[in-house]
Amino acid sequence: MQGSNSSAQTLVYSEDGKKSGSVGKAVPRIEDLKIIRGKGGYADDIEFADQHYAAFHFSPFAHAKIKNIDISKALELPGVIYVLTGEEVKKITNPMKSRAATKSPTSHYILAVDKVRYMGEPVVAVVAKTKYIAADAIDLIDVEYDPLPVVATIEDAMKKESELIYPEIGTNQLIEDHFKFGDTEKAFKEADKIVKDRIRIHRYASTPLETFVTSAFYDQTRDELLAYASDQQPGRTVGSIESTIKIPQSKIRLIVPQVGGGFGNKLAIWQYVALVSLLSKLTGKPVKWVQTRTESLYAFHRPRGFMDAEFALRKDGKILGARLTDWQADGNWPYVAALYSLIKFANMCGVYEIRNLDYSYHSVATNDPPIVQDRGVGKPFMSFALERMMDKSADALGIDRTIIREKNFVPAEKMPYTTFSGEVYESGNYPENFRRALNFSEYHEKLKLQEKLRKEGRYVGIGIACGIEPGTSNLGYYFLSKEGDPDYNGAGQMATVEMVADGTVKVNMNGPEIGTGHVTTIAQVVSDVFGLEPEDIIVDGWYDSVHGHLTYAGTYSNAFNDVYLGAVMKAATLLKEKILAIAASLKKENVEDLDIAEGHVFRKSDSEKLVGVKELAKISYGRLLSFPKDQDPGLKITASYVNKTAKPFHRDDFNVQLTHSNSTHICLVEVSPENWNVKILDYSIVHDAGKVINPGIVDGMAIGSTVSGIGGALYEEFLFDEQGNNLSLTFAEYMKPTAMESPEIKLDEMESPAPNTVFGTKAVGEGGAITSLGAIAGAVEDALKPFGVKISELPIKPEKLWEMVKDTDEYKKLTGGAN
Amino acid sequence: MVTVNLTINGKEYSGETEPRMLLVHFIRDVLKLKGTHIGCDTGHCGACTIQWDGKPVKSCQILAVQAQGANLKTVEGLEGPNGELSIEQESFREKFALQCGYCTSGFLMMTNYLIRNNEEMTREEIREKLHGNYCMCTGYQQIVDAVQDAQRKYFAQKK
Amino acid sequence: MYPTEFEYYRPKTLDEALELMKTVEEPKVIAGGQSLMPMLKLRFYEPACLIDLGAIPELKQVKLDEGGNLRIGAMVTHFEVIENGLIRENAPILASTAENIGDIQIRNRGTIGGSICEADPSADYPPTMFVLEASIVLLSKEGRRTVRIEDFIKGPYETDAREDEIAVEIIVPKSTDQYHVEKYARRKADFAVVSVAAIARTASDGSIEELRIAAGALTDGPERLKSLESALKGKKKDSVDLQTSISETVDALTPISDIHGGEEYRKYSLKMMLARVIKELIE
Ligand SMILES: Cc1cc2nc3c(=O)[nH]c(=O)nc-3n(C[C@H](O)[C@H](O)[C@H](O)COP(=O)(O)OP(=O)(O)OC[C@H]3O[C@@H](n4cnc5c(N)ncnc54)[C@H](O)[C@@H]3O)c2cc1C
Ligand code: FES
Ligand code: FES
Repeated sequence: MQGSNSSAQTLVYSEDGKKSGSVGKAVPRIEDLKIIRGKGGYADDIEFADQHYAAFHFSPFAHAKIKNIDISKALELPGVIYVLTGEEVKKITNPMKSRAATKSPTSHYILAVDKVRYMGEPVVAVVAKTKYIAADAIDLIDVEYDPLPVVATIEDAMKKESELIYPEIGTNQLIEDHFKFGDTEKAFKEADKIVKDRIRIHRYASTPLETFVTSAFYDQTRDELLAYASDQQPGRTVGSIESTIKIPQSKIRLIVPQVGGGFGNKLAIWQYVALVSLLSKLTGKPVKWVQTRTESLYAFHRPRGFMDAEFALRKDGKILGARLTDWQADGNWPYVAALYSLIKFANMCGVYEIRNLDYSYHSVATNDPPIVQDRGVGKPFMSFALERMMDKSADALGIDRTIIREKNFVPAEKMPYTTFSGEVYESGNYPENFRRALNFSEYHEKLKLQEKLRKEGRYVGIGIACGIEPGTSNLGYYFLSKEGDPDYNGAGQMATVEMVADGTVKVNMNGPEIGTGHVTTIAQVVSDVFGLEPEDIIVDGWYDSVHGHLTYAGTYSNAFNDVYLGAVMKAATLLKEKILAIAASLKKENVEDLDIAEGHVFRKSDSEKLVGVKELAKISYGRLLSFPKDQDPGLKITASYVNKTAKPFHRDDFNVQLTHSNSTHICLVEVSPENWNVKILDYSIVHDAGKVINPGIVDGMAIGSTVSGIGGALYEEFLFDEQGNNLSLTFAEYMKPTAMESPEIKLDEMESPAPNTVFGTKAVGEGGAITSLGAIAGAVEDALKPFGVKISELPIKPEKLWEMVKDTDEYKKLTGGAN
Repeated sequence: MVTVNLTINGKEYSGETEPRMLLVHFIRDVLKLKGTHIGCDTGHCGACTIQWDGKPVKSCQILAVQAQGANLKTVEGLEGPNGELSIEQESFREKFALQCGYCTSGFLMMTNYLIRNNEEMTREEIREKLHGNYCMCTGYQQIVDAVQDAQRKYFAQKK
Repeated sequence: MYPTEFEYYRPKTLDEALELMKTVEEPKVIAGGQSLMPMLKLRFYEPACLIDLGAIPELKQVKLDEGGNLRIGAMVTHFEVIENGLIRENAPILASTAENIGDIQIRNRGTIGGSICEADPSADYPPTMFVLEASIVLLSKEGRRTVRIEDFIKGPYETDAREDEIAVEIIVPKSTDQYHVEKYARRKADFAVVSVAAIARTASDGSIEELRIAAGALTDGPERLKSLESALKGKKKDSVDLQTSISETVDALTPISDIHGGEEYRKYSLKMMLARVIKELIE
């Protein structure tokens, strides 16, 4: 099967194999109609009258005291209307708080106060009449810094004499915790073999093509804030604006227009929404900030870190137990400390059955820039570590890499399967997925090809990775390591469905559209409820806080398929019931006998059309006196939906996420002995994301997320010098894969419906980013087997490979000893 | 301030600018054509791609004053007089070649050029010709599908 | 992303341009702008006056002179270098070199003169110009002079052009010998990590009659690999110890060392590339 189109045709929705409405079909995206005409309506396309612009002075140091700030010259520049520094911010705002850390820092404000903790931290803000003048003003600001010793690594940070990032906490270790499940000690005692490794992850990020953009106008006549932002978690932003700059939630209207890519990255924009809002409040002018690419590369990223992993193995390959110790350099934006470690529980044993497991984690502050919940958060690293350990274990035991996986899969008959910590894998057939992947990728032919090419002196390798892609965050995991009850959760969503007086159905999903096809997908499911075509449904792709939201509403954590659809379907179904009830009452029919299709309410028994929907809508809004007594006029329903399988948190039984897609990735790579560059020759995926509503969209996510993982595995890395200076501030240094580096991906789908979502759908959007890392690393290691190369870290850069091979005998053979 | 007069999508425009203003800012902020996007500072990403005398260029790598009298085409110029989608617009939609869509204007302007100025392109050739345009969402595969499809449509139309 | 303020001039004739170069304060030429614009946007460079060469027709011509040399106007774009029939015929290596540069959009604006005047040590044109033994014609109010490429590129981002001089033309001697030009970069639009340009001619008896090789991506700018050339020239192709000669030559070079590759790694890759390229050329 090639690409998206062929697999698109193979997908059918309903249980009995019949196509049912538009669900399951590759319906062309409705949102495209605007975007392809150049009318996408992104945040930077929106302008207020008398628009002013903000710019920031960002710290050039990773760690320094701010000795003095001279803003006088900037203030004199014509066109500059305001300059804001930390001194004022400290007086009028509250510091940012940590969510997970047991002790929150109290000195970190939205603008640096007294000291800077990373290169790129905002220190001074300017408001001017144009972007260009704002940039000029920044050049006129003179900040005197007194550099402090830089805490560059986890090892540095943990030294007794280390400089403290947050002196008020008294340690650089923001949180640590230890968990024990089953009897790991016994497992290790009984093991035939113990395999250990330290596996590392680097700093990289998804870098959405649209950078952070936010604008705000504080209306002093009504004391109300209107803000726009390319924001993925606006529900939380509203709360954070309140808690930092003290504008009450009731006075905030936040709108998120079409977002030019999110990938979790835009969960971090709220600090700047707060800043721009504050600047507008202080100046009375509408203020906009458009982040430049260099500014976007300062922060926010995934954290770097390492995991010490140990597997206790039986000689047939069965994993008896595991010990994992995770160290994450969580930068210094205390907001999301420990998040990367905690979320790993969602896929800590991957597709494998591991019952005895000890897990420790350490979240450490350093002078690395802040981190954000980038595509998959800690799960790509978790999966990378696991798959590396699987390969290493197989090698150590002298068994095949496929056999060790087969030995350890969660058996299909144990589904739904509860992991050691309480995560519930709701459905799936991992052994079958794997078998299909071996077939689909022509694995055995590839082995033969590899043997042939090796004989010709080519370094070709095959990599295999099996991964879990969790969806919907049960955000309470923040409270695994500290007391209290979370007052926010990602397992719910609110939506509004209405039929307006002319009979048009409108949906407000009230979450941001970040490129994941929500508008179309919702139009598909809602059109089926009302017997209409998707084009007939108007879905608002913009988030607007006036419509109400649950705390932490947003588009993240692969939750759309679950809670957005849940909320929309609930509201749509209630609305349909109401329409039918009104019709029944007016026409003196039994409501159970009625249904809606093609714009009419009809009697099911004889398909007799009783009344037009348009007509009913008109009546429902206008004819108030002759309206059925048992119904209220108006056809608008707002409903909230919570996925009830989210568990309240207990340390010995909790679920971090609620749906679990899975996939097998198999790839073939070649390493050039001339420059050690890696080329992907073939890439196959068999993906199981439960029921698929729109295969065109879902295939795109699977492919796109895989390429983003390939970028992380081979090309992308934020590099820092010993002084904590970020050396990757343009796309010349921060290398994204282009179309030339991206492979053709062959994709096949399985469907194991989720029992705990409305349509049986599961997560899509992060899977490739999670699972690809292990496949690529395994393939490169396999290709360089003649050199005995072991891969335990990413990205796999040519020079690093060369360093690894250059003292080997195979290398001497290759180069004739001359190099 | 300088007055720049130019033609975009067959229409004459005129606007005031400082010499230092980038052409992409002029198009977006002064002329209010918001379809052309900005994704980087260094000429790498191609989000700002427009056509100048029919050839694709990156409008962030040009000053507005340099475009005095120029004949440009932007994404807004692709559709027909009554809003009919052009073949490349159709193909991008049919092949799911966009997700967030932020890169799409640039890719459409490239596609519009490439399908008309090349013999039938292989997938590999298409990838090679598009490497000055970044897409962070799609992994490029469906974009390549769309370019191939658009070229097929273009050739069929020409016959 | 927002250049600082400057004055902007767009002369229509060379004379007008030269006058401006002499009279305005801190004149800075802008050609295709593909290197200069990022510098302006990032504010690494803050010129007082920009002189745009885009409106001067004679800088856009490609001619063949009486001596059979190509004369390529400084404002000829990379795209035109690829497409131009005269260039393809008389110096095909140059057209192939241009194909390696950046991407389609960059090639539609960037110019041959701009690339050479930028003197980026990892750019694609310079090694090719070295093996072609090209010269640059410089013009100012003081007069005209012609400088050999090896003297023109004085180091990384450093040329022999004075502040008031404009490069108007590149003189490229005809060369239709076997050639090979190659850069290794992880992505095609990136500047070279390792690059080689070479031309060769073998005599009927199998000896190497002519061989010119240059490498780019070196700390001090591109270099002709003269020691390697002389080690091989005149020899029969099966009598040469290619590996030793290459090693000796490359070990004496200093490749650039940065996040795209350290010195030792680049030396290794350069050796491997040279060995393959030379073998191919003399076979
Ligand atoms: C994304 C990207 C990728 C690129 N990839 C490559 C690549 O792979 N290989 C490669 O070689 N290059 C690459 N480049 C650089 C590109 O080739 C530039 O076009 C070229 O280096 C400069 O030519 P220009 O006409 O654009 O010059 P400009 O940018 O206008 O000028 C460059 C410098 O030369 C001076 N100058 C220009 N013309 C003259 C003249 N006639 N007389 C005196 N001084 C003059 C200018 O003052 C300036 O200092 C890339 C650029 C970008 C943005
Ligand atoms: S914005 Fe022009 S190339 Fe990136
Ligand atoms: S669709 Fe989002 S960047 Fe291409």
